[in-house]
Amino acid sequence: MKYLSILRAYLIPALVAGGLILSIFPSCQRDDDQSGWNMELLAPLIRTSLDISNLIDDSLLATDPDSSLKIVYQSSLYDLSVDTLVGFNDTSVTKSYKLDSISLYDQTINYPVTLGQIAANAGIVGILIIAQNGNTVPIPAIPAISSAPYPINADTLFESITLITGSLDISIDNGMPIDITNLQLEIRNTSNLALVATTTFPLIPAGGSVSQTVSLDGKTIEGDLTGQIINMESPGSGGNPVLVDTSNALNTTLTVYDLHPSSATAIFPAQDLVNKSQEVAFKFKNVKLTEAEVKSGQIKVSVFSTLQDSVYFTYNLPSASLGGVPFSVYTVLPPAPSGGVSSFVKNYDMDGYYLQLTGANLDTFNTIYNTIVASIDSTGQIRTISLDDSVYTSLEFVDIIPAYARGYIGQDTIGVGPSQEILEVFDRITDGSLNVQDVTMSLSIENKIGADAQIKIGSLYSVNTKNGSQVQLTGSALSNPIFINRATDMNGSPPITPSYSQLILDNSNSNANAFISNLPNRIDYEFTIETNPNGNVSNYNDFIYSEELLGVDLNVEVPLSIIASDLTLVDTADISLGSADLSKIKDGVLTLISDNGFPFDANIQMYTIDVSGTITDSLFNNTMIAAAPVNASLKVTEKKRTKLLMPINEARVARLQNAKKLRIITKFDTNPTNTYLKIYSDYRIDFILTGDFNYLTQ
Amino acid sequence: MTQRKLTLILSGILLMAMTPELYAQFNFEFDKNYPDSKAEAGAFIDYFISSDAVTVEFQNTYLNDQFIDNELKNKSFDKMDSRSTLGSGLNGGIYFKKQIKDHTDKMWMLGIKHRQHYNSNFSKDMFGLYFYGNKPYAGKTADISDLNYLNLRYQQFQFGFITTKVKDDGMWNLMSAGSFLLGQDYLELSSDRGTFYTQPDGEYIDMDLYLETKQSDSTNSGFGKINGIGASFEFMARYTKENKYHLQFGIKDLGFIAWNNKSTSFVVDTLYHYEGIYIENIFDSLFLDIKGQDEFADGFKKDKKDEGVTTMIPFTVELSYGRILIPEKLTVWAGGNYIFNADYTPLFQIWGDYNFSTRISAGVSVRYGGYAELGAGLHAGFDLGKGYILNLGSNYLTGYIAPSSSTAQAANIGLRKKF
Repeated sequence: MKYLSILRAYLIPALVAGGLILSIFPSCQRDDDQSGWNMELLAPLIRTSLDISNLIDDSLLATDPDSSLKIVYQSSLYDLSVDTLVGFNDTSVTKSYKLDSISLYDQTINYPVTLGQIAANAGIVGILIIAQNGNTVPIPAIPAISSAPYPINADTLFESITLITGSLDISIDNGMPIDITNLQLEIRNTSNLALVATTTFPLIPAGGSVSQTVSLDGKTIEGDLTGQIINMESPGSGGNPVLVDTSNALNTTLTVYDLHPSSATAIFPAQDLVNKSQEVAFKFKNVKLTEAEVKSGQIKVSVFSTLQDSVYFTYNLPSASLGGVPFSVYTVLPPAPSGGVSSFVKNYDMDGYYLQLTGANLDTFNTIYNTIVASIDSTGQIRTISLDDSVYTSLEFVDIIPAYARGYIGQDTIGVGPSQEILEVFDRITDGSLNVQDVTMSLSIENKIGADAQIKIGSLYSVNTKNGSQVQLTGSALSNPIFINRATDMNGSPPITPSYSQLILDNSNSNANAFISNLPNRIDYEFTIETNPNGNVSNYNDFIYSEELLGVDLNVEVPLSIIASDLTLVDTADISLGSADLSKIKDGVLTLISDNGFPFDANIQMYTIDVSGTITDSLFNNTMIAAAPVNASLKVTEKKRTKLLMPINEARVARLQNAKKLRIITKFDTNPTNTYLKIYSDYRIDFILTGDFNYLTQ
Repeated sequence: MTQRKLTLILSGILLMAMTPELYAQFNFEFDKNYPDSKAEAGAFIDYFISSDAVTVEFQNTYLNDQFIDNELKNKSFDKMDSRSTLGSGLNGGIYFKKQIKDHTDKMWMLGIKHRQHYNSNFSKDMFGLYFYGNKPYAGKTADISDLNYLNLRYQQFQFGFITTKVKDDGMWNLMSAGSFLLGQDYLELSSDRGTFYTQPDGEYIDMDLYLETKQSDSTNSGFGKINGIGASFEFMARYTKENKYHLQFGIKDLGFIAWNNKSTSFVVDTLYHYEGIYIENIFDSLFLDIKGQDEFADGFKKDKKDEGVTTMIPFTVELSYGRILIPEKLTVWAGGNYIFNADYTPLFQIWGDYNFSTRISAGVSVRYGGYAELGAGLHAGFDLGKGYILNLGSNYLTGYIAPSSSTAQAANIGLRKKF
């Protein structure tokens, strides 16, 4: 039974434990390199197809009726900007306006002097007169007497006025029953007793009235005045009894009028303090415009006032109108603080405004006119205004760009260049030669300006910066300037009928073929544009519209009938193989299957480049892709298949996966050689990259 | 009740407590050594991996995650007809059973088991594509149709009754049990249409496939995870004519599992023509976003739904007859079984049990069918004393003897303690 004991002691527990472990075997995986199995995988990886549009932007390609392709390249060499011809310089007009005049209310003051007041200063005679008040008695002659000073108050209308000019009418009604003779009246400012007016009336008959006018020019008048009768006499009633009434009076009426103060602290009537018209001329060089329309721009209106009253400011620009409504600004400046200024500053868009540029009298150029009115209203409050007060205005025309202008654009010469035009047509070609046939180039000018012009070509170079070669365009075609007729519009309005001019450059009148065969990636050029070479032949009817100017285009038409020899195209593309784990690929072969539909032999190689820019691998063992065969018409009859092999192993896979860029270098040779071959629109080369590799799956 | 009769009843009850597939290799003659036993506890485990073509060596290499070389593949591939099957099962657990008080003819039983069933039916080309790659099929149309694949794991909590009726010289043993199932993992694939063509130069690949897939929550996978619940039923009836014969019939694992709403189902119905990644312009940037396998496969999934699915689990029907040639010494059996819901062919088997003594028994078996073809095995039993009884054996011993040519392996072991 010994074996039974052994079983019980060792074997049974081992088997039970082993069984339990085995029970979870499907989820028990070993992480071991020696696991899994190899699979032979054969699969397409990448497919692509190239036609000529992959080498040359298809926007540059055109198809001839026979389906052959040509490069049609157009580039704008120059577009005239409106500023070049008609540049409205920023123009500002700054004015400080003193007050033209100040008007004041006319004013009348009545002041009665009674018989009783006069008698009170007439001694005994006066006492007798007062004693007979109410009686009808003869009034004796009154000797020369004077009155006490009496106040005359005008301070409800002004406190002080310093007059440039002004008048004072003194009128006296004699309400007493006796004549008054030799009456001398003085009016003085109460504060400093400065004499304002003095006058003498020799006779004022009983019941009659007399009047005199006194000039107040240069006087300063205060609201608090003092009047005094300096002398007054009377012959009495001449022995005739008359009713003595001491309330009878001499009524003095003082009237001031036509007051033009240099300063006043007063209640002012409503009045225009400034009312000016003026012209503003825009400055141009050789340009005389009669009208324009603003495309964009602003007018900045600034107003400053020292008046201690609200100023009602109106700025009118009748020369500028939008929809027939003239430009106008109206604003109210608040009273300036004493010794300070009040202000108003605002920008106004002038977009779309029509400008009449012939001035106020329609007889000049480049000129607008405007009016400025600054006024005050009657507020019933006392303010101080002097002719030293001023209104300061600033009008600035900023960034005015015309949408349209008419007049005489002037005779000017505009230099263009030296400038460079980058050509990307041959960008990928780095080396080799390309012979082309029947190149046609042209300079085409479209003129939408209502002015004549002419262009003189200075120089035109084909520059290949990759090999440093340059070819200057030469030939008889360039010997004379290109005259450009003016455009016309419809009686001063669009539509515009442009004029077109063209200079054809081909092999008959230039070296155009050599120019293009240089495979330029840059064209250097220089020319001049002269406006109105014959002067003001339009009688100020030249015009421009900002969107319709003058453009100079370079056109190149290259039929793709070519001979290529070692024509080398290089392109570097970013590459990313994603995050897939390719480490399980052990070895194999990548095969690039090409079906070539071009009559080119292509020698192709691809290089992987790592993050540091270092070439890490060249991919293909054999690199020659055979040209497609052509028939007697030199047209491809069928595609030619070539397989390029790329053995791979784990190291190469790693290099591919670490590659950041893929440089593709292809050298083309037309086949048959030395024969111009046309490229047709249906030519293409198809590539399929297949993978045939051992793959370790785990 | 005579001692002999009591022993007979106990033996029958104990026998019925085992699964139909196992009981045949268990020798219950040893139970007569413990006539007073009223209870028993045990642990057991059995497994099988069998195929009609895939060699045991291949199976083991694959399962042990070792490198599978071409020679290994070839041995299986060469055995294959146009279609092949591969299935496996794992059944292990513990149980306890006890006589019902005052009822010597009745017992109750409890058991906990881990169950695992794998089933596949695939074409030879499918095997070839999967293990050799597609290059050998360049220029050919590979048949990948009619794939069936099932991988099912669950835990089983079983409760049942066993009863015995003796009449004259015959005896009926009846066993019925119900089980609560905890679904762990489930993956089922089935396709009825599928071809795969590789252009000879690898210029393109065509795939025509219709595939339905159901899967439990793959993010919650592994032993002890619960992704579904279910129930199953088990029944067996056996009649023994004393010293003459045994006749028995059984149904096992008739049930279902309802997988939770995190389960996924989708359909792949595609005519896929692959020409590689098309690059619009090779002179532009070349960004190849090479997809991972899962992401690539996701691209074909349609009608993808996250919802609960209910599946019938494979269930077994068995019928067998045992002729008692030498009472208490030698019995020869013949029988067969069939697993429904699986790519299982009817299995026929013959086996014999010989008791060398009251403590040692052994037997041989020969079977044909199921997932495999012909197989032979040995089994033995030992009464270790003190109530410990060990049974062990293999239905496909050939898989261990000649793993490079055999296509099936199986083993079982059970240890029980009688109280």
